[in-house]
Amino acid sequence: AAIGAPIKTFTYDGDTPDDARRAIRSQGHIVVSNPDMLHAGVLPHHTKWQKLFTNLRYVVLDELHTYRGVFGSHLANVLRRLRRICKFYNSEPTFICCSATIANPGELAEALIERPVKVVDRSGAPRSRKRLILYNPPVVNRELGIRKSAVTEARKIAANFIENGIQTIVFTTSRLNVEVLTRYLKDRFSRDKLVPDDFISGYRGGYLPNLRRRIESGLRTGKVMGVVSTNALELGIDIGDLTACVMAGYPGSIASAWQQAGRAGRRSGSSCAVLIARSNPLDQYIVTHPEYFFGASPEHARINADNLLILLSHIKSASFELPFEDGESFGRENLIELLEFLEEKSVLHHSEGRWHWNTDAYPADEISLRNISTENFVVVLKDAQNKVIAEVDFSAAPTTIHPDAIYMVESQQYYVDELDWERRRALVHPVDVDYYTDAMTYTNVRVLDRFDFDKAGSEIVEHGEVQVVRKVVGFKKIKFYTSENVGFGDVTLPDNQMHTTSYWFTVPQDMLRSLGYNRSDLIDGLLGIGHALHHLASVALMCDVRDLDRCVGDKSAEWFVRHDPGGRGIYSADDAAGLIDPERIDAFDPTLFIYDTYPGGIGLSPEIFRLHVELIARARELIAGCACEAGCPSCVGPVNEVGVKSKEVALKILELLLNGR
Amino acid sequence: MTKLRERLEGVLGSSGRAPEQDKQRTISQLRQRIDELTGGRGMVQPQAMEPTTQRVDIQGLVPGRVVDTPCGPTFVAQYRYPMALTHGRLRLDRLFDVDPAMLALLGADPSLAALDPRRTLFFDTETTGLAGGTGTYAFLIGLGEFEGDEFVVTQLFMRDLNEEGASLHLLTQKLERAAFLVSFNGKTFDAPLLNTRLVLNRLPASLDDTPHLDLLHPSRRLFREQLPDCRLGTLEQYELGFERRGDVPGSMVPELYRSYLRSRDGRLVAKVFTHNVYDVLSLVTLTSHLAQLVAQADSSTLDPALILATARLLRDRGQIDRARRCFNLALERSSEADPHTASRARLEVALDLKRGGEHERAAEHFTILVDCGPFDPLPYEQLAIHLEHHANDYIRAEQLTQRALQFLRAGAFASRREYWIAAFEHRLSRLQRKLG
Repeated sequence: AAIGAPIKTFTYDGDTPDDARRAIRSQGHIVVSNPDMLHAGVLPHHTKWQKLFTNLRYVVLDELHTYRGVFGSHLANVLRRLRRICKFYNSEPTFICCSATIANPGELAEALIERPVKVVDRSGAPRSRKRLILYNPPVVNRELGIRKSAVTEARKIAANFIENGIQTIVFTTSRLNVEVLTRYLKDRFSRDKLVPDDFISGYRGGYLPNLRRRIESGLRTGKVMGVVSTNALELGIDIGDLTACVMAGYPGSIASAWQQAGRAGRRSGSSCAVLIARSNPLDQYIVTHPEYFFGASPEHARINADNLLILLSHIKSASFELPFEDGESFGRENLIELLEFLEEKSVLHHSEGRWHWNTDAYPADEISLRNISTENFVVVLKDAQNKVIAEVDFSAAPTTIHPDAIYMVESQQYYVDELDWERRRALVHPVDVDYYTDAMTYTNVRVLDRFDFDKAGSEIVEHGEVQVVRKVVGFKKIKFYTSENVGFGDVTLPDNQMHTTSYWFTVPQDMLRSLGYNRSDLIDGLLGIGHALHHLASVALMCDVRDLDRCVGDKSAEWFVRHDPGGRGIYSADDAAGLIDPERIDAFDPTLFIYDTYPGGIGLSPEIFRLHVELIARARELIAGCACEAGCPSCVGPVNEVGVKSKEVALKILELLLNGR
Repeated sequence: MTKLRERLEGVLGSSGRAPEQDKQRTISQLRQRIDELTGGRGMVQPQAMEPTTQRVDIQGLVPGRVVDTPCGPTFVAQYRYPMALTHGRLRLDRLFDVDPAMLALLGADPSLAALDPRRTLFFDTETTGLAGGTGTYAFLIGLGEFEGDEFVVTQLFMRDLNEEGASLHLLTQKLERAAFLVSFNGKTFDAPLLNTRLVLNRLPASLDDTPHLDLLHPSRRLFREQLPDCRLGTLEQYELGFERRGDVPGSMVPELYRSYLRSRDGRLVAKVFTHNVYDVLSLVTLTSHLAQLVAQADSSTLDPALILATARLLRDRGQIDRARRCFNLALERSSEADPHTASRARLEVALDLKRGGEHERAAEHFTILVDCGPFDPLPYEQLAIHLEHHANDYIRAEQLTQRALQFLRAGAFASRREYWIAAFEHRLSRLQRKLG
């Protein structure tokens, strides 16, 4: 624009009305959007954005640290597509990325935009005094290692702030907890005095935009004195400066915790943030290691832009947007081979050096950037008009909507009558029972390919590609409140097979023998180490605990540990062979696998491989420092899952490994 | 199998299925999606479409030849018809007798009042799909023009997707000469699609700068309530008296072209050329037919429902006097045989009278609607307004309002019921206040 001319800034997202869209496409100097819109709304219609793409100078990626794991791997591909389209219009924009504090911002940015970047990492923002209080609630059951609930403690602390006229934001880790805590706090304050109904408000995704805007403005004016939110209020939205922040549970990454804490006292005056720990190893590790919080960030954001599934879906989208030409490249795999594969599937048509889109489909609709599988199951209410009440991820379907499961939506229970695997749907009817179900699965892992290994210590550490077979064998019925086990059921479903990447290490049996335990005890020790390592790895890799899973077994896939109604035992990978007596196994070299739960992997396992020694040391520290007697959810896992000797044996094995270095 | 291929099969087969099943599933999903997009009409079995692996050149099957352009060769078919050809019930050259001012009314675009048939391009495309966006190709572009005493349909056909540049090059030449465009759904579908293709091929042309009459929108307004749908084929059947022979359903076209690309068997797409020619010819007669309707609605012996629809279109285009004559005509001619149309026409007549300040006469019509017609809140409201504000008869106004509320609360009227209930409740409380 000419000097002095107005700079037009527009928001272009799912809520933008159709007539406004046309104006934005032709007039916007600055367009604010999100990756999903760029992926499904802008790039596949780039000809309508000709003007913008022709003149595009800068692309700003805010909150870069959130683009990690699956989402980041998708975004990297969306950016590959964006650059390809810019090239078509002869523009070459500069990328400006902004990130919260993480250990590797430059590396992440380079992985995302595939260009060299210059890191600017000194903050010029004014800072005022802030207190960060890490609070570990008292242990109420020493045997089980259970602490007082973070939600209960958050209620007390937040109520105390608000009573004293201190505007407070409470972050919880689930939508359900938002509702519960909001109810508690509303009850508390409507009892005392006459306060307006929105004196305390809840805030989460799923609330209508109007309501959200009203709460945001209430926060800015001070009408809303307390707000309970999910991480929906962590980023971006202007809610002014609050004075206190209460976090009911560690939000999963230090970067997130700092952003949530930053909601209190941005510019002036003193402020305070309280992080309340839950009983799990993640929270416990953080709360007992404040230096981890205040030192240089240990969190590495990782992506794998060349995950085959992700790459393939974006190659489809890119073909739709502009035919590939022979000799072009996209990602680090052999593009021609992938294009040939798509031609075979009748998705593309090759003609004179160009690969044309050749189906009547809109490929961007088939993938969600925030997920990897395209095939969701729907949960259908059996009577009425077969109303769809929920969708379930392909990978979660076997454990959550198997026949006879209790499936919950907004605290209403539904009984699963039938799981129609072929048609990808579950038929349910509403029930009111006093229990929920917890699926029992078993997993075995087979090594397909080893990418790297490390024999420096006494154990053999490796990473590579594996096949994971996961099977739901049954379920437990668990009573509400008491958590009693009130019954079992069988489940017969097809195996769920997946190729992914894994890290694993094997401890040679003669080394283990020197410890003087029998094999069952050694297995229990390894199960405990697995529990701790799994959680610690998710801290270090800044990923969700569910992005990883673990399995203890034999590297040659002869036997595996699995849980059954009767307890845990060693089973043959061959299903029919059943339970094995561990003392009778010839080659007993137990292996602990920690693998990516996404098909093809998203780059987590090579990192765990790299961090192996560090993680082992942290695991020992965590387990040794835990106040429980014989194991609890904070260290090696609950005793009923890992056995009474697990904690003791786990420590012995870890010391053995560390001394061998 | 290469290593990459093995990994692909590995991750794609990761949802617990064999790769072979996977492949079939993908294909059947695609078919399902086509079905969904086309409403499942006339979908043929894939086997039926791929009977052969024989290569048959398109050149021997349709009247045309390969044309060289600076962007390479492409195939161009041409069909020449005498201008006096009768297509269905109507002659093509009837368009020359039409008052173009009517076309401006139909298209709500004053620049169409200058429409000259000899400078008009009638166009319709056949595409690889309906998904929209940058991944859909117009593999056959049909263009009709009056030339001398003939009507000529030129079809630009891509024998393979790499002939797109040549095909579009020829299109831009036609566009340069055209002062007007006529299409069916072209404003929403064909023109944006062709614009996208032009940009992708770096051709500096656009269909947006030429006055464009899209016949779909006025057709919908006129025929929506009388015909099962407003597809071109349906209009041909009911309005233009044209019966298609040897045609393929439009929904099959993308799949036929894909089969052709795989097999190079021109026989698979030969009928698509015919389909497209029919579309272009019908554009011409539909244009004159619609123009005639609008020109003669107030003096015609047409179906009253059609007169009513035409009247509404005229009213919305600001032709108040002609609209009024049509509303009265529709009311006159529908009275006995068609009570539904009669009520709707009467309502329009009454509203028009009210706008003209003739409150008493309007009230007579509203009274008839309230007493005789099926329940409709609008005449109740209008009559209540009249009674309250002009006749000062609060008692009857209140009674009427109560009756409307009874109907509404009993669920008599679905559309915007809550709005109406609130409006009548508000009126009721005001009336009761006035009554003390």
